[in-house]
Amino acid sequence: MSNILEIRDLAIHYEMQDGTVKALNGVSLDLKEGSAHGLVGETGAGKTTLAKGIIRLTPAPYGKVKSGQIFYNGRDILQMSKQELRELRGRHISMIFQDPMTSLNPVLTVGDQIGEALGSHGRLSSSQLHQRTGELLQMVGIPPERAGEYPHQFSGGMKQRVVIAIALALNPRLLIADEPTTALDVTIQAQVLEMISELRKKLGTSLLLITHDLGVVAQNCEYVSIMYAGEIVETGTVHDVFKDRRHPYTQGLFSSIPNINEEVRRLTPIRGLMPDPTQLPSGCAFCERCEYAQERCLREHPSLYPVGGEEGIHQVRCFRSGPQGKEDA
Amino acid sequence: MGKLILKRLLMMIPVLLGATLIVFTVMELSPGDPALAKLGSDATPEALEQVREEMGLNDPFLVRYGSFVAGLVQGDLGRSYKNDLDVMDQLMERLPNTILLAGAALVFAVAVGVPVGILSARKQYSFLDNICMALTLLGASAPNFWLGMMLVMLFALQLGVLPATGMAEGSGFLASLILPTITLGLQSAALLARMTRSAMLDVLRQDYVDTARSKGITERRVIFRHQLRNALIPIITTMGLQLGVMLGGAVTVETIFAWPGIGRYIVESINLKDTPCVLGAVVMLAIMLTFINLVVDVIYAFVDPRIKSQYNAMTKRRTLSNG
Repeated sequence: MSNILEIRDLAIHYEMQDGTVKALNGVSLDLKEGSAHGLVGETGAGKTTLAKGIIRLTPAPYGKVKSGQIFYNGRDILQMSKQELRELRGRHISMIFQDPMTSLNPVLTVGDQIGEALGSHGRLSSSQLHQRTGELLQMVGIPPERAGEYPHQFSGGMKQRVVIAIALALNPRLLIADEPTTALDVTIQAQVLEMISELRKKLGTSLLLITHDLGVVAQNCEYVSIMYAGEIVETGTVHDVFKDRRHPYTQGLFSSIPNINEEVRRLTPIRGLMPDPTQLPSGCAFCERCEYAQERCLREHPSLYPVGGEEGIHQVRCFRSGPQGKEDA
Repeated sequence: MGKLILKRLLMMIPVLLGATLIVFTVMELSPGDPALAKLGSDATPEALEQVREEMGLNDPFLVRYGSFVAGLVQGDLGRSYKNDLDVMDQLMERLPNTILLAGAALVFAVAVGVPVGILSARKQYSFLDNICMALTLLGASAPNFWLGMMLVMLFALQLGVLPATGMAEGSGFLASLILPTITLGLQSAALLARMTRSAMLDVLRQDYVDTARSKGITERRVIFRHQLRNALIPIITTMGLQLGVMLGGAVTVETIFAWPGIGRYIVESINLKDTPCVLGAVVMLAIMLTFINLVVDVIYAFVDPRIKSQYNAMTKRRTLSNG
């Protein structure tokens, strides 16, 4: 399997008046063609920054790409001209945003908004446009005759379906879903996720699924990366990361969710808070909260160490998994 | 929607009664004698008294106001104390000139203000934005009586390229419209630019703008279809308010430029204490103002479908409670 997307050493900072927020610090990530890759991390870990960065929607004028490359089929997205970028968006890479309540334009009908996505690349006759819009609505389970209605006439779940229809309008090769179910209630969450994975199977779309829900990743993804303070701290197949969790943060994440098979009186939260992204420590970003922290963790910044795994891609950013192993750390 | 318009038209009645009552009272309390003004200072007391009786000036206040309102509902605004001309005819002669001037000023304000606002918002905190905002602050603070005189001094007296006053007929007409238009419209242009900027800044980073961009549509389409359309409500509100301000501003601007409109007519009539003329002009302005507000409310519904559903829900509820 080849990689549809290769992110290399991407750093995105927000330069505000009262300091620079280091949202993303040297993220590298490979997305395999046709696969689903989960991106997990707590609020503020840089997940959305990464997602928006991929299709160059980093908010101007504060957001600045400091370094890195994003290769889509071998071409660097960060070097693309406006025209090339337009070509890329929608047709090759599209995005589902976090909050369906705000991601649709309130003054345009949903049919218009879907049609706009359809018509953005190449001309369609108005009858073709109408027909395709109807088909897309049908595909996401909305009666096509509702195309003339406005977003405020739809419920949250229905709006997210519309957003999905927009994202899939041109059969993109890669879909970035930024917490597509966070704003929805639980029953609708399952529906939406199921729909995304079904459509993905049918259309062969690759998926980058951003979430803070490990269960969602287990159900929908083959690969997973755990993010912490703007870095990937552990990555690999879902099987590896879930069964052989190495990074203390990953372990912490798992022990803070209830397990149905064990009787646990209290969940174990990860103590402490994520470091202030305007003042990241020079050593390991997690070391303040880490029970295994050594003196070395304060001084040196660990790199991603390969630890083998199913496809040999399991990597962990912790000295304990490094070449000198446990005796050193 | 239809019911809403009807309701708003009916609401004009108390507004007009209130406005006329206030003006009637103010004219009553202000010094001066219309009979004296009509006959001149060498008139005999007997002649003055006779004229007062003829004009109905000796009737009690409420009787006079009542007879004015009675005339008003029949479309009769009375006759001028000064020259006995029909007030309605005089107003109808001048009204188109005022509407023309205010309309031109509004077009000028929108044509200048909205693009400047969009540009400023999209280049927020840039050098260009700072320059634009400094200029609009100046523009918004320049009183129109001062601005008018400055423009006349520069363009009419110094450069001699534009006429100083009056409304020219024929080919000179457009040239004679320029200075009054700018004088009346500049303040509105500045306010509109500032309002457009802040409204655009509100929508610039909305999620749906990201959605729109992620579709791969042109930036032009993003600006006009997704950003500006959502910023329109405050812009239209400002336009409506400014049009009202312009009708008021017409009083000074028309006086400066000797523009034959309603504003100048009011000033002349007040100087002569010509109550029927003042009242008639005020009624006319009040009708226009309420009408502008109504038009703005109707435009809202076309710009924002959520407001339209609200209007419809309002009328529906009323039908339900009636039925």
